[in-house]
Amino acid sequence: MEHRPETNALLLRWQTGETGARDRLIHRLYPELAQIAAARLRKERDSSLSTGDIINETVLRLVQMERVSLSDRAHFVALASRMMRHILVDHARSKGSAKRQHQKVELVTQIDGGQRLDLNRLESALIRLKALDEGLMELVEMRYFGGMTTGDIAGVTGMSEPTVKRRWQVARAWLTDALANPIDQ
Amino acid sequence: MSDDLERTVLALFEASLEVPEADRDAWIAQATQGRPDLAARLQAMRAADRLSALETGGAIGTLDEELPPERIGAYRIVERIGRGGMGSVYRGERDTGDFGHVVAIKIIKPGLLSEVLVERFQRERQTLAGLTHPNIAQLYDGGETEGGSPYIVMEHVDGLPLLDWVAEHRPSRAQRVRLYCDICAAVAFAHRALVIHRDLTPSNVLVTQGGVVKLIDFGIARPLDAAPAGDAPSIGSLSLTPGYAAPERLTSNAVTTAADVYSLGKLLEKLLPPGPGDRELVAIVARATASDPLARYATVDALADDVAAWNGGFPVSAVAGGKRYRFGKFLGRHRLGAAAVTAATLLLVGALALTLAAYTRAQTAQRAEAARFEELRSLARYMVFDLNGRLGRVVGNTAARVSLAGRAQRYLSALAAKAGADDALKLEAAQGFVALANAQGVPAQPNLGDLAQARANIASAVGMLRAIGGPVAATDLVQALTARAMIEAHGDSRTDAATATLAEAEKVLAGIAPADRSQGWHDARRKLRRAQLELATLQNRPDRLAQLASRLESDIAEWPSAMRASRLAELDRAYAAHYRGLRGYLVDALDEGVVHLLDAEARFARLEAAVPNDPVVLYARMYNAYIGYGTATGLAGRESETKRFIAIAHDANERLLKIEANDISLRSFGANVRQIESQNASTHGRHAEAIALQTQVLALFEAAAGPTRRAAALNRLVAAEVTMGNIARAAGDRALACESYRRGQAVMRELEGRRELLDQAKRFQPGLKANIEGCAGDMPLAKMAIFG
Repeated sequence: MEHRPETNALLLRWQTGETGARDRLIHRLYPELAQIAAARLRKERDSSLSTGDIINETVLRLVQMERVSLSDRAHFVALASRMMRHILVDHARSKGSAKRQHQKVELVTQIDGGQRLDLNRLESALIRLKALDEGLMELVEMRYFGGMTTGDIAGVTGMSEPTVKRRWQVARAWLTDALANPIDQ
Repeated sequence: MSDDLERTVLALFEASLEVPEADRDAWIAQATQGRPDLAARLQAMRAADRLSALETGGAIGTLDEELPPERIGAYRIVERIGRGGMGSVYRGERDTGDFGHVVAIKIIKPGLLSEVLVERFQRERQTLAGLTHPNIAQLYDGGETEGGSPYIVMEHVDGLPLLDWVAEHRPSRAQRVRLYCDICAAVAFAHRALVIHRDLTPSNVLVTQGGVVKLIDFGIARPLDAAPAGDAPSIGSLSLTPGYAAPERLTSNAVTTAADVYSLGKLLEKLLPPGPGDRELVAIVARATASDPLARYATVDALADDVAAWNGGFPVSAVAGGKRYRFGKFLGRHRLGAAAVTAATLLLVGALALTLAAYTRAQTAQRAEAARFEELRSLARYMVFDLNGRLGRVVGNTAARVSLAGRAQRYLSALAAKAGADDALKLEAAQGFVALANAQGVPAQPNLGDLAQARANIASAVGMLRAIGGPVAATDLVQALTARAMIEAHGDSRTDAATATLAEAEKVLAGIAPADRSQGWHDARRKLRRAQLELATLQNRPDRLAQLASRLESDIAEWPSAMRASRLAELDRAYAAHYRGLRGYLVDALDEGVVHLLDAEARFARLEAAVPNDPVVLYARMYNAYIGYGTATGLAGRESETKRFIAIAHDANERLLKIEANDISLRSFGANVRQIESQNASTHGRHAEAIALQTQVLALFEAAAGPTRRAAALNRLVAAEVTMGNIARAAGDRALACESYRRGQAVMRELEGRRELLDQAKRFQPGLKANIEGCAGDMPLAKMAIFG
């Protein structure tokens, strides 16, 4: 893909602290992600794709991986995870606003939790979590929306893997409680 | 709840996770001393921790499913009992006082099915609802939730998935074989009802506490065949379970019974893992799971027979071993004093090549081989009569049946060649030829569409039977001549030859003294009658139709009592009603015709209810509904019957095509139905629609005629061109009308030149001539009468 070299360059510039590069990366990444996610939601694509798969596929399309270090890749994925959150929440909103609209959605078999999450309410809870502990909120983005491994998250955040796991458990418990007992309603 | 409090809660909870589980309560109590608000929040966090539904990468799954409705139909949703790729399964209870009624409700995720598949799913449910078998979870109901998700309500089975049950109960080999045979019996039953499971896996086979097998999710996964090309992935492809789905399902859209045979093979391997010495069991699994669908067992019954044979120490057809294997088995059986040689275990498709070779050898070795020779004769019988009949009722088996017919053909030819002066053998071969020809291509009944082979086999049979001569061969000769007449009349459009052939058959029948008239004689006569009726239809002789219909009915009184009580009697009464209705249609006595056709429909429907998907009945029902549609469509007050007839015709045609995709007459039948629809549109002034429909009809008959210009299709093409002329005339399109009439005349002349013009088409001659002259002279055109 011809825009790969430029994406790589942006990635490197972002890593050296150039914030403009990050914004331009987002410009590049977002439509790709949204397109793949939407295609999956319309069930045009492989039904077994998880969020993590989608992000990885997008990253692969945009970046020449062999020229990017593992930690750079993880940062990129973390960025993509945040976008995935926006895409999915937007999707949930549009779905909520047009209830009667026949939604073409896809199956996911890897989650078999008892309860179904309401993404709109999760979004409210995440906004509050950001105010309490921004790191926890980012962890949720990376893990829940991005499907990132604890190892990759450790690489991005500089925390140890056990810490990532423990913090993820905290975030999960807090969110689950917040979803069960929303304070704003 | 202030942010500060929450921050403390988060920090304390995180810290508590580093405290060993056993000490955590004490640690929290200590840490929150004097702060009941903090203690309460921490306990809430701990409870939430145990419930958490957030999974890594799980975000996208949240959009997948709507919440289950509180109730569906008469059922209250109690709890979710399962979840899979297709959707979730819930336990439902009827809350209208009927407490004992617990059901399983499966809700398919919205959007998973394309519009086409949803429609198909709804129709399929009706078939499934009729699938009542002790080893199949009964389907009760279905519909669509408010959110648009299709759902089905089925019998709630309190049991374990097959492999879990096996792990728990450790059944013996005999018990496992019995379980397996029960599974096979259920699948075979469904195949006869034209339902393919498509996703047979250990988790779709439940075993109840009492050890009874129950198959679930029958036929719910639908194939793509109904969906237009380029549509979203089918449910079929979504429901593939790795390791159990047949390989062709990944590349082909057509799902056949062979796919279920494959999955059953995989299931067998799991249920009865073959040990190192189990050569036969390995062979059975290999045969069932062959990557080429044609190399698999042709039917589930054949697979089950082999498993039963293996279990009982009989030879297994899947072992393509040499003479030694078979002979060893043969001796072993006799040494053990086992029951007399049962044909069923031996007579399987794959054994044929083997036995043919053995047969040749049998000629040289004498006495000991005599018994085997008997086996071989029964093999022929089984191949041509039983197996073909069984396969005939199973959907998607055209390829298997064609291959079977080919093998049977070789066997019969060999048998005929070896028959020499042995009349009994010759008779048997001739009977085989007639039965095979009927399956291959005798018209006006279900067949494989191989007219040439059928014609040749009938010729052989007639030759052999005439050579035998006398009363012994009489009834078989009548059957052979009747089949020949049907080919001459319908297939070759030579009604004169057919008339002569049937006259000869009638003479042969009459030559048998009344005292010697067996059941076979009566059966031959009823087939002769039907051929006479078909011929009278083609010759456009309504009065003869009425006369023959009465005779068909009065013949029944002369049948032996056992035969009188059989299904055949009711079938012939239904036929009689049908031909009376047809007569009404032909002479334009439509009101009277409809009454008879409705009577026939009711009779055919009852016959079908007794034996679902009997191809012969389906065939008759389809034609009856077709004529019924044509007759009722012009009548006031018959609107609902008109609709019902067309629906029945379409449905029967569709089911027959599932059973027999090669039958040319079935394919052109669709054109016949459309032709009536186009006439109907024209009558109601929907001219553009009528012309469009009729254009399709012409194309279909042209295609059915093919490069060899088949006479049967060309005769229909004449009527179709005349119809197009009428439609164009009514639409005021004189140019198209004139062109159609001229083309009709050209086809008619082509047939006349080949002496294959049927009276049915010939009667258009004067009308066409007059209209074509009218076209040339700018004169008004006359509407031409169309019947048949």
